[in-house]
Amino acid sequence: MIPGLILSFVLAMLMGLAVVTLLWPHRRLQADLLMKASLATGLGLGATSCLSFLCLVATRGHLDNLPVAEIVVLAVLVACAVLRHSPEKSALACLKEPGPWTLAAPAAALAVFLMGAATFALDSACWPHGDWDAWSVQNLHARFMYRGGEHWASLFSQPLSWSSLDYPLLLPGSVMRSWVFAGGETVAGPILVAFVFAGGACLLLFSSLAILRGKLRASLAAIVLAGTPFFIGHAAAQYADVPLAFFYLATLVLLCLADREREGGRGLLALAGLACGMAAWTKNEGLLFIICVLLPRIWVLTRKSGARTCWSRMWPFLAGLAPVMLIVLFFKARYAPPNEIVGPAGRASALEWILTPSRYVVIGKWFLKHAFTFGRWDELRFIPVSPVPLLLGALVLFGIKRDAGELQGARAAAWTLGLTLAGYSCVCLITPNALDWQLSTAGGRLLIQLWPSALFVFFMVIRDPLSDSSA
Amino acid sequence: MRPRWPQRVRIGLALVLALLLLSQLAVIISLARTLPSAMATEGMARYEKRYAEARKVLPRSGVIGYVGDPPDSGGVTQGLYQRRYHSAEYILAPLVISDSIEPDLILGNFFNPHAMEKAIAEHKLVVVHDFRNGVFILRKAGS
Repeated sequence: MIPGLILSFVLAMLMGLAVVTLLWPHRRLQADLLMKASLATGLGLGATSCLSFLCLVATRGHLDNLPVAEIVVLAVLVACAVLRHSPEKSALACLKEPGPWTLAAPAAALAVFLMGAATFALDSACWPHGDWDAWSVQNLHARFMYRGGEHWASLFSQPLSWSSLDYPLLLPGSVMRSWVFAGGETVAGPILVAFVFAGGACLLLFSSLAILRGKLRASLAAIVLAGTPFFIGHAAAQYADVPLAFFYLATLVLLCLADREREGGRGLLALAGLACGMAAWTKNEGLLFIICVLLPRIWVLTRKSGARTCWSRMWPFLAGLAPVMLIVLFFKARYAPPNEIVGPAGRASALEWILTPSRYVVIGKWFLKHAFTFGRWDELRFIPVSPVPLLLGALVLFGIKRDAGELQGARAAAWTLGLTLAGYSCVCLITPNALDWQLSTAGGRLLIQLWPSALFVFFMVIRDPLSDSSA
Repeated sequence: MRPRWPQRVRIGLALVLALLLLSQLAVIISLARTLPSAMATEGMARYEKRYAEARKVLPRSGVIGYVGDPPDSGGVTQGLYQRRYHSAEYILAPLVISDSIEPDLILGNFFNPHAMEKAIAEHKLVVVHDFRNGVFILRKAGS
């Protein structure tokens, strides 16, 4: 069982690496390898999840040939990546920094990450099936897909309406394919999927900031993320929020990198679109995120350079987004029941809730209070405080980078995060569920989805405390 | 220009990092201590055992009903009722379990024998299989 399980993850990583290499601005595999590997983790699992869903639909639940299909697709992707014409070098490169921090800071980040990984492993050993939403939603859906054969779609029947049947299938698809490769069900499948996304998010945050802002800020960001108890605990709970956080971060990172490329970074924009589409294939919040990514970019590009330039910058993103969105739309149209918020019950109550001022106050107060407590920082016995006030203090102390060109991508990312948070607040406003229950059960999870991206934006804009003093 | 903060910043960062690592170590030690008891009482493993025999007898697919210790009685909260019902679905998937007594076959899941007797009498059910651990397969009398 274990060799098959390992093979499933290796194959997913290779497929992710092939997609990333195919669309990367230059073709040398070794360059930016850490960054490519971190992107390959989530994108590989996302791509193989899409493929396994299509196989499931096409073969009416008979998945015996899934490994062969994946190997064929991988071979095609590798051939395309090898044969494509592209420059040997690109503008992407790690910033060169002098001083002992370049070794000590990444070593410290690695230590915090390893501690986080040990916590994850122990959490997973205590609760191998994950927390409530993991087994009653994601892993239950995976069981229907794996065990159901031609009856797998009976998952979408009315008696199971409590199981969030409108949730997209990235996680269940990934878990299902891990069992197909393993030759049977094992709790190690969903645990490894959860770990790959959590580890991938930490690695992506580090590697992207190392390229864009140097290893010190990259290490500090990775330390804060891997040291966030709720991030590690929630990953071990096998919920879909950490994978979603990975795809949010990947989208914003790739857009920032694309902004730096001289040739327009079309491949990076396509990868950003792909990551954004994967967010929509992970959770419904991803659909809102797509709008929040597109709106500020279209607004800025149209105002600055006109509609034609905007289109030329946006079409690669849309081309990357389209394949996954087609799968999401097919799933929504063919299988998923209406979402409770846009369904009849939700629509009936929405207008009444919009016109109720007290709900705005409750939501505003909740987010203000929990912005400083959502990470379960009190679990850190010797430093039981939120880093958010410390980070805000550091921003005041050290200041914001002044180079407008360098900040362009970070500014757009900040707008995206702000709009997404506003969108989340609107969803809470019109939810047909009791507002207190909605906020207490989902509020912290919504914030953890944005946390890695918020750290990325923060460390993009803050000046380096050790070397940027003259900037 | 020389950096203004390096020494203080370095000391501050090193201190915060040390406290963070110590805190993480404390979490790991605490989790390691609870691991044996957590593994012994892990809910889903117990449910897997509970339904193992029923799984052999029940159909692989289709829809069956569900009846269990009713919520808001005998210490069974609404949350506990849902947890037991959802767990049964998780273990027995891809069989669809409807939280009703409408289907022909009904899964009985009782921790309280009195609640089981009351449910059988109230809904006019007959026992098809008794797995002797509180799990039953039932059907409506006369069907």
